[in-house]
Amino acid sequence: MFEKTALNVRNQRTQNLVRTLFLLMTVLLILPVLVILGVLVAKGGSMLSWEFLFGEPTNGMTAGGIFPALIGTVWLVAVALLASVPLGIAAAIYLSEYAPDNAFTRVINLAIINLAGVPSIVHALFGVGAFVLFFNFGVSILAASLTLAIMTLPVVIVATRESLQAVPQAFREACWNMGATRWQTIWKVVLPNAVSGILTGVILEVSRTAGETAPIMFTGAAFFLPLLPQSVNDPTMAMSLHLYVISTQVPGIPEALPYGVALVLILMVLCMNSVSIAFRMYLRGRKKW
Amino acid sequence: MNRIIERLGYVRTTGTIEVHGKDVYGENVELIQVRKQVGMVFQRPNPLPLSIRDNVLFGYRVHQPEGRKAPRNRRDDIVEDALRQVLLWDAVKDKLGRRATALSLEQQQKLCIARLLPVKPSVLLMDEPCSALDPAATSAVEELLWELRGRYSILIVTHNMAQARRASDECIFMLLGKVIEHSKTEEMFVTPTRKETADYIEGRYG
Repeated sequence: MFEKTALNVRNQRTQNLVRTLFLLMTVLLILPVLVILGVLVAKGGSMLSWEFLFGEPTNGMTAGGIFPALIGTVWLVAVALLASVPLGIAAAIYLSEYAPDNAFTRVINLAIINLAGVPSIVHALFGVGAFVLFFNFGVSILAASLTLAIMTLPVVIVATRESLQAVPQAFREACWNMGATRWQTIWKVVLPNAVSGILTGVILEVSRTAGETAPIMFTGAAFFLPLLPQSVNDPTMAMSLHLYVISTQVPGIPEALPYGVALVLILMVLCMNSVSIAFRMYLRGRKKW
Repeated sequence: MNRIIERLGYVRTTGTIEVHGKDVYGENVELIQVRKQVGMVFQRPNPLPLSIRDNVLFGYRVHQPEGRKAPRNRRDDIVEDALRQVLLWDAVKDKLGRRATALSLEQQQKLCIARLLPVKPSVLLMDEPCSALDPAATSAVEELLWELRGRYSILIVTHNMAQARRASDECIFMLLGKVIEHSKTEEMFVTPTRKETADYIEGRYG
């Protein structure tokens, strides 16, 4: 009794094999991240300096700093967030907390999924048609940011909806039962418990917004501008476009420069995200169930 | 009875339910007011993921007019009064700021009763309030029922014959959605008038 049989041994062997295989896959996953970061630091690390960050580009973009592009990306991300986060959260709350399960809701959900699947260059052309021309915003931060906002809306909506649905139904019932309206329930109980998930969506959105090139190329970003943008109606330089152009279009660029720009872009995204990551960690620590 | 059942789209209700002589499904009935009068306790304790204090004050705040906040000592009194009524005050008075979900199941269930009280309901509905509790906690909650008796009309649903006998003054025996028998508890368990009731009490089906 209780001795190992041949079948047990074989099953155990398969089990070990599968586990090792999946572990390997997981490790393989982090490899590209490490390599990319390693190469960027090794080749572009020497570029990092205060003059590089806060200086103007000189000598036909082959030397000097990248401040105009840096500040431009901050503009683009900030305005895009302002547009998409409130809209996305409101839509997600409606879909998760109010919408009945009918054909109309299903069509909306389908539309959101499709919006996420549209290639960014198509978003770019839509941005040109809708914001630059039709609404007559011109080539400007406003037009570019709205294009970026539409592109990243599905991320915010889906992340928010998922985190709202992760809040146990029992909490809602407890609230309704005490006579709370749906809105009181959402405001006092559901949202506070979903904030960390919503922030995850925002983090993803920031990274994507800062890195996208195609949607801003025709709608608001320029390769070189002598002046910093003064308002959302001005066009701007941007890190991603800057990187794209100096890597492909401009001859005689020092080898370290594109790596430096890429490194700064990644560090920038990291900085913007660390704020919301810290906030999220604080909220998770306070989570009360 | 407080129409919380409507959240389930598939239920069909017929007939009338009268509370204080008024049909809760009738016209001119504000659902929120019904739920204020008729507090409900669920099978599984469902404290909100807030502090003990905020749990007790939740219903009170929901029904408080916007912008009219009671002074802090008034709210302290409300919390203390509600928790004393459910015999929980001595156990939690030093940790009102702690999260309610960390309490034991028995304490959670008592808290769920306590948070109904600040809005001054007249009826408390309890849907098998002890089915998630162990025997000691069950008897503690039953003790609480006797404690609350007289101040509130308490309706308790149970499948536990012994509990029905211990914890009630009056009994209604229902089978497949129909009322079979309604009488004083001591009469029903000693001299049931209907055969179905007698058989169920004796445990011939269940």
